[in-house]
Amino acid sequence: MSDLAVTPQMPVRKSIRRLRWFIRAFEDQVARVEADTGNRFACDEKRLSAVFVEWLRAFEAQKPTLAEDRLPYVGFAAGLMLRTLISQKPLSLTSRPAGHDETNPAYFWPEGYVYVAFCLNIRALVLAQDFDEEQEMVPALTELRSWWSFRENVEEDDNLAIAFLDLFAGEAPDWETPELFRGRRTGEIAQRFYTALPPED
Amino acid sequence: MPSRPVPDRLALPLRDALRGVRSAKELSEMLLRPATELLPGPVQSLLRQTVHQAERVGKYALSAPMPGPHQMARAVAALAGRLPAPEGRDALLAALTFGLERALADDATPALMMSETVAALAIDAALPAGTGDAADRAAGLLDHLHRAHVVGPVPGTGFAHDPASERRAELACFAVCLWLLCERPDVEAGGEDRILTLCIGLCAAVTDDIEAVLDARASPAGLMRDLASMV
Repeated sequence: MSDLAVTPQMPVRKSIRRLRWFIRAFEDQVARVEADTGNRFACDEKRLSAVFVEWLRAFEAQKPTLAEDRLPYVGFAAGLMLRTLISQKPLSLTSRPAGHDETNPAYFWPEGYVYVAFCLNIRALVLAQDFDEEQEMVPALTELRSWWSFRENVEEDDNLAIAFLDLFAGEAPDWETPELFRGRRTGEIAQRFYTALPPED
Repeated sequence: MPSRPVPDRLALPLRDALRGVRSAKELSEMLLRPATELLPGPVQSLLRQTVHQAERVGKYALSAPMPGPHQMARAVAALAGRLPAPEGRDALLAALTFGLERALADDATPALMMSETVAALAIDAALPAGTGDAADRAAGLLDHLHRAHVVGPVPGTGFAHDPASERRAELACFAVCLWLLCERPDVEAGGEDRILTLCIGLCAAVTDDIEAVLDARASPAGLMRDLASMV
C-alpha cells in the first residue's frame, strides 16, 4: 500500500491530534494513491475537518489509563478513524484509468482503499515510533473477497470498519462489539469468564 | 487579476465605503445574472454589457492584504494581552479585517460585509477590558465584535439582518478569533492563510457546538481553548 511521506516534528501519536497535520497527511496519502493507481479524487476539506473532530472525540472518550493498554489502543484508534472516514465520506472518485482491474482493491473501492491505506499507515508509524513494532502485511489486504465483505458490511454497520481494520492489520477482530475498546486486562477477564462457563446440556 | 490591497493611509470610514461598493457590486452581479435570461434580446444584450462593465470595475476592487509574520505576531500578542493595547491595536485590526473578509468570502452568499471602523471601536473597547488567558480575551473580543455589529448586511441592498445572517456573522467572527488563538510555532509562507482556512472549516464542522454555547449565553472561552488546541 502507498506509504506516507509527511514526517511531523513531534511524534505521530501527538501530531495526528492536530488538524493541520492530519489534513496534510491525508492529502499526502491521497496524492500517493493517485500516483500509484492513476485514480483521481476530489476531497471535501470541510468533511475532512468533521472527520477529524468526530474521531478525536471518539478517541478521547475511550482513551485508556493503564500503560499496558496503550499498544492495543493504537489499533483501536486507527479503526475509529476508518469508521469515521467511511461514515463522513470526505473523498469522491473523479476518474479511473482506462482498463483498470476491478479485482484490485484500489479499483474495486477506490475511496475505501485510500481510507484503509491512510489508517494502516498512521497505525504503522505510531507502532514503529512508540513500540518499535512492525505492522504485518497480511493476505486479506489484497484479497478481493475480503474487500467485497468489507464494503458490504460497513454499508450496514460502520462500526465493523474497526474490526475490518484489525483483520487487514493481521490482528484478531472483535466482530461482536468492535466499537468498544477492551483493554488487555478486560480481555483476559472476559476470556476467563467465558471459558469458565459450564458446558450446556 | 487579484484585488488591489486597501491602502493603509485611507481613513477607516473611507475604506469601509469602498468595501461596501465592492460588496454591493458583487451582489448586483449575482442578482442580475439570472434576470438577464428572462429579458428580450436587445435588453438582455444591454444588461449583459452593463454587468460586463461592472466586472471590469470589479478588477480594481479592494481587499485587505494578508498580514505579514511580524504583524501577525503583534496581533496575537495584543489579543493575549502581552502587548499594550495602543501598540497592538493596529496589527490586531489588520488581522481581524483580513480574517473576516476571508471568512465572509467563504460563505456562499455575499450579502454580508465587515466594517473596519466598527472593528477598530470594538478592539478599543475589548483590549483594555480583557482579563484571563488568551482564550478568555478572545471570547471577550468576540462578544464586543458581536455587540458592535462588526459584520452586517451590505448597505443599500435592502437585505435585513435577520437571525440567520446574525448567526453567520457571529460564526465568522468566532472562526477569526479562533485563528488568532492558535499556536503558530512553525508557520511557513502562506501558512497563516492555511491556518485560517482550517479554522473556518473546523468551525463549520462544529457549528452545533458553537451555536449551543452562543445560545446559552455562556462564555465561549472553553470551547475556543479546546478547538485551538486541535488546530
